[in-house]
Parts: sequence; structure tokens; C-alpha cells
Amino acid sequence: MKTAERNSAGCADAPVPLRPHRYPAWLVFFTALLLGAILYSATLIPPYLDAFVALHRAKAAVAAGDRAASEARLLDVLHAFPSSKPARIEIAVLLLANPAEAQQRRGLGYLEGIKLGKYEWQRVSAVLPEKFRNAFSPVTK
Amino acid sequence: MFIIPGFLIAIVTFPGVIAHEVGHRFFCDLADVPVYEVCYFRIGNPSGYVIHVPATSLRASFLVTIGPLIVNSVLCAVICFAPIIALNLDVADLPGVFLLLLWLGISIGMHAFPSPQDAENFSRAVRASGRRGLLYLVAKAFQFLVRLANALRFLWFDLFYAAIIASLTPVLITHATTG
Repeated sequence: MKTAERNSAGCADAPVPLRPHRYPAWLVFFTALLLGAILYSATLIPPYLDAFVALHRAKAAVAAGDRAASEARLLDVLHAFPSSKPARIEIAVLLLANPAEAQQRRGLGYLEGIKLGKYEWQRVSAVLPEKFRNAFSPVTK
Repeated sequence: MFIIPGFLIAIVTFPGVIAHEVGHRFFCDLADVPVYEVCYFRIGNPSGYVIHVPATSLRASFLVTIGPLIVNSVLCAVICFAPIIALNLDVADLPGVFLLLLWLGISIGMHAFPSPQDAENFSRAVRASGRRGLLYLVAKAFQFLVRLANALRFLWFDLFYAAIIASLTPVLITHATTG
């Protein structure tokens, strides 16, 4: 983790410098492995990237008051990754805020089996109708 | 604050130590600074080193010092891109390669900042240069930042820096796609 400087001027038996841009074979091998892992992850990333962008577009849409567009984007995310926790919470909050009970029940369904953190629970409880409060129970860590 | 001995952190994050020394070595070669010996990783203090002749110019010294910051930061951002995107979605059954890459990327990012020894070498070069131009001012500002970063290591500054660099590209994508 450091560079040490050596003044070799005037030394008759000064060591020979290493050849520039020459690296040990094990380092080249591990760099190749690393590149392989990055390339492999690059082949896996497109659906994740699409879902990531859709999730943020959904958040932007709901902030702009376009709830229909937000729901459509969130459904795109959940179509690709049904277990995505942030997408499930976002769509649940969106649907629970809807006055129609059928939509609220749909929203509740997205939260099934999810453990909510303090901040997440604050968001959900802000729109959670009173009649559904007994569907949730506190858990200890 | 939770304090872990530096050598243990170096062992767990050894890819970062190796990348750090590669950064020094690569920029020594770019700046035509002869290198005599390189230890990419070892268990001890320091956990890696590059022995080279003193850089003959402030520019060369700056390049050799800043090398790991550039190499490790770029590698951290590239390697962590896919895992951070996937982690943001918080899905079940995350591919194992993402977790491996996350460890690699964060390890490398944690060793991006030049070490106190690097800062000392650079300070010496700044003093020896006797220059008072723009490069000198940039050099002094950089020297201050390196010292500050090293002083803040016990507050896990290196981990915070790695996390910020790793999250940077996904954050930029978010801004670009949502306006």
C-alpha cells in the first residue's frame, strides 16, 4: 500500500529496473478471470437494468401524479422479478391509497410474506385502511 | 465506531491491495519512472509496495500517486455496476456472481485512496519542485485531500468512498431516465 522511492544515481551495482508493462502470469490470469466475471454479469444484467429503470420511472410517475403510468411500470418490474421488495412495496402503497376496496385488497396481496422495515411500515401505514391493520403483526429481530 | 486492525482489512480486501499496487506500477510505467520491485500483496505492513526511483517531475510524481485513485475507482464503478443494480431491486435468488463481484468491487474501491506513504512521497516532490504555479496549487490541494482521507480511515471513510463510487453509475442512470 505504499510506494518507496530509491535513489539509484551513481551506484555501480544498482539493480536492473523491471521491464515496463510486464506483469506476473498469476496477475494476468486473475485479471482474465475478473474480466470473465464482468462479462458474464453483463450478460445477466439487461433484465435487471430494465427493471431498475422501470422502478425509477414508476417513482417519477407517481411523484408527477400519474398513478396509472406508475402502476404499469411497477407491473413491468414485477413481471420480470416478482420477488422485488421495493417494487412490491411501491405498488402496494399505490393500490392501498386507491379508494376502491378491490384495489386495496390487491395492494395488500403484494405485501404478503414481506417483512417491512420502520421506514417502509411508515409509508404503508400512512395509506393503510383501518380495516386491514390486523393483517400485520410486529416482528422482533 | 467499530475498529478492525488494518492487516485484517487488507486480508479481506486483498484484491484492492493488488489493484492499488498495479495502479502505482502502471502509472510509473506511463510516466517513465523506473520500477525496481513490486510486492502486489503480502500479509504484513505495508500489505503491498512498489519501489521506484524518485519521479523527476511533479507531474510524474502526481501521476504515480494518483494512479491507484484512478485505477481502483474506475474498476470499482465498473465491477459494482451490475451487482448494485440487482441489489437495488432486492430480489430473491440473486446470482452468486453478483455477490462475488460486489465483494471484489468494494474491496478494490476501499483501496483507491493513496496511502500516507504515497502522500509523503508526493509532499516531498512538491517541496523539491519549488514551483508556485497552478500545478503546485492542485498538488497541495490533492496532498491535503489524501491526508484527510487517511485520517478519516478509522471512521471507515474508505468503505464509504467505495460505496459512493459503486452507486454512482446507477444513480446517474436514474437521473438520466427520470429527468
